[in-house]
Amino acid sequence: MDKKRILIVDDEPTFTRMMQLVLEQSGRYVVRQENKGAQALAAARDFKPDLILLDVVMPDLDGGDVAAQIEADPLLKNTPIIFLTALVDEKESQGNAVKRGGYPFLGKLVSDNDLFKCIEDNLRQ
Amino acid sequence: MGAEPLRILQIEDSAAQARLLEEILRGAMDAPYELKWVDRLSAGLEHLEQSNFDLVLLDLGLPDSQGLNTFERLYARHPLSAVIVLSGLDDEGIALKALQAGAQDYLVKGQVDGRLLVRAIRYAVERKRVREMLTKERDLLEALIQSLPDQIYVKDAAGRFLRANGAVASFFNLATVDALYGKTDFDFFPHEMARPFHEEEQRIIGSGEPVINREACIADQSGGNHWMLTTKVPFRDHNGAIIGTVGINRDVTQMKMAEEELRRANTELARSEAELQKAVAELQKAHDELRAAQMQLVEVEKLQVVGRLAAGVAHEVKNPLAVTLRGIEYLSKSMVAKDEVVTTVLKDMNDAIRRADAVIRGMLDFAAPRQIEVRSEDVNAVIERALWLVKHDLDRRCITVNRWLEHDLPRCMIDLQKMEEVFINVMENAVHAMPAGGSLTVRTYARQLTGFGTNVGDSKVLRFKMGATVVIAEIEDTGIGIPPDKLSKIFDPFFTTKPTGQGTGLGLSVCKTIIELHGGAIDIRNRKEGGAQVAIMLKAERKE
Repeated sequence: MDKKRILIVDDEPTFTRMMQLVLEQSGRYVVRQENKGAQALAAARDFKPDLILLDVVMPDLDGGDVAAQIEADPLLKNTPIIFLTALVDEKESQGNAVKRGGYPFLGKLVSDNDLFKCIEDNLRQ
Repeated sequence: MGAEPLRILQIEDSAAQARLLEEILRGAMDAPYELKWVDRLSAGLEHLEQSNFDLVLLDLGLPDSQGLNTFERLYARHPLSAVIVLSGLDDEGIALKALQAGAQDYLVKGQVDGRLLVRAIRYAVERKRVREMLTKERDLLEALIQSLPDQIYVKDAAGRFLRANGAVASFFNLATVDALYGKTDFDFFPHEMARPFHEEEQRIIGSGEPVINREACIADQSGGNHWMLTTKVPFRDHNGAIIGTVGINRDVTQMKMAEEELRRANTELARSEAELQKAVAELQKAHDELRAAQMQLVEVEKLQVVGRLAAGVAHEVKNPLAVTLRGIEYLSKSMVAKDEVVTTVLKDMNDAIRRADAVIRGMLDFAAPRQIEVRSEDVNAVIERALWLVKHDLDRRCITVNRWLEHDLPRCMIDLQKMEEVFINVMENAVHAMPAGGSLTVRTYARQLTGFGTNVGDSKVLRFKMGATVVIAEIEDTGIGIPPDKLSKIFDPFFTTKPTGQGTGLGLSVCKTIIELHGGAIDIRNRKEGGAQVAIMLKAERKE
């Protein structure tokens, strides 16, 4: 079975590095990190991910703008996006991503189980 | 009179008669006297004009006047004089006429002796004094009655006027009081008005009971209404028998009008007082409301500051926690040999991160706009309420408000209190941007989305579905605008363009969070005309 390709965009390199380690440790995914919002579109075009994990608050171009660019790209527009944010927590999401404006939102302190479940759910769609 | 000599004027054409009389008087008068003799009526009248005499002894047959005419001419000129006619004629008819005409006595020359003459003189003088006194009394009484402004009248048992003063005559529009005498109220008033007066007087005559201070409105001859205070008492003869009525009417119209005016003024005063009390109550209510609004604003501001601080701290702390957590999870899974101690350490670290997260969550729960309670609301009403809450600031800065609120705006599912906070925040930013006054324009309208790009700007964290109806609220100011290089940071926590101490730099970041919790969007841009425009886009409630 081919490994799914996940692009993670977050301005915090240690976070993206950890995420990559955890996700790839499962053996199910290939992960690419991107720490600049402004370069997220180019990275996606290059990497052609099956799913994008996107930080909301970034200094140069925020997650909303990156999502808009992805939406506008004919090749990428159907790529599922999961927002990762420090402002949603597990208590609120109760393990499931909170839907806002059509996008799933996950807290950054989500447990491994919930993280993988959310990724799998969105990959299937 | 005592020491004063009695002054006697004798008008007698016969010198002999005059001398004879002087002789008689000298022999009989026991009191001092002065006697002046003239032989013509004209000379006598002249003397009476010039000085006072107590008595006139008058001969009727004089060269310039004859008979009773002589007396009448003198008496007409000097009605108060005491006159004794001394005549050569012993004519009872003339004597009687003279007495009836006012002479004190009639003596026949030749039949007069000293004793008779002196007595006649004394009686005449005494009667004159009494008459003078009575006349004075009568004149005083008359003057009193006539000079009083009240109407005073005496009527006989049939109600006919016997006496009245000028006030009565002028009430009936008569030139003199004489025109009243012999007439009754029926001659002056309509029958239905005169009758109760007449009946009242008949009751007084019958019972002897007076009527005191009866108040009634009476029309005068020219139709003017007068309020009259009437007192009527029985009029009795010297035996005590009731022979009529005496009345006094006082015109109290002015007083009544003054009373009425006073009553009206009192009513007016009472009403003014009530109105004043009402105004004070309203003022108090307005004051209380203002105070409540102020407290609410303070509370909102406090919560916002705490909330924004919490949100900022949470964001900054959660990222490193997340890194650590992912690292621990990675380590847990990559341990080949399950070392029990390492496993325990990693678990403890995981627990520690969860605890730190719980602390942050607790802080956020305290005030951050994390949970919204939505209900169907009218955005226009929310805006109106926010405008009302910032009215004080707007007024203080002389900022005029233009409202372009669309009628029939679709309702939105929103958290009333949180969205109110958003609008207050945005409006207060506008106020701060216009320190020297200006105008604040608030516009609402609904749009059906035809494409992704809307005039809500570039912030598209959240996507609205094509064809969806959105409610857009725009708040524009004519203030200083936002420096272009700062525009991209405007929603960052702790970012502010306001001078130190005037802004926390958290307002718009919280606003944005609240709006995004509603699935809406907010955008800020500088207007070409100057000032800034904030656009807020909310999903319209779907009509089922």
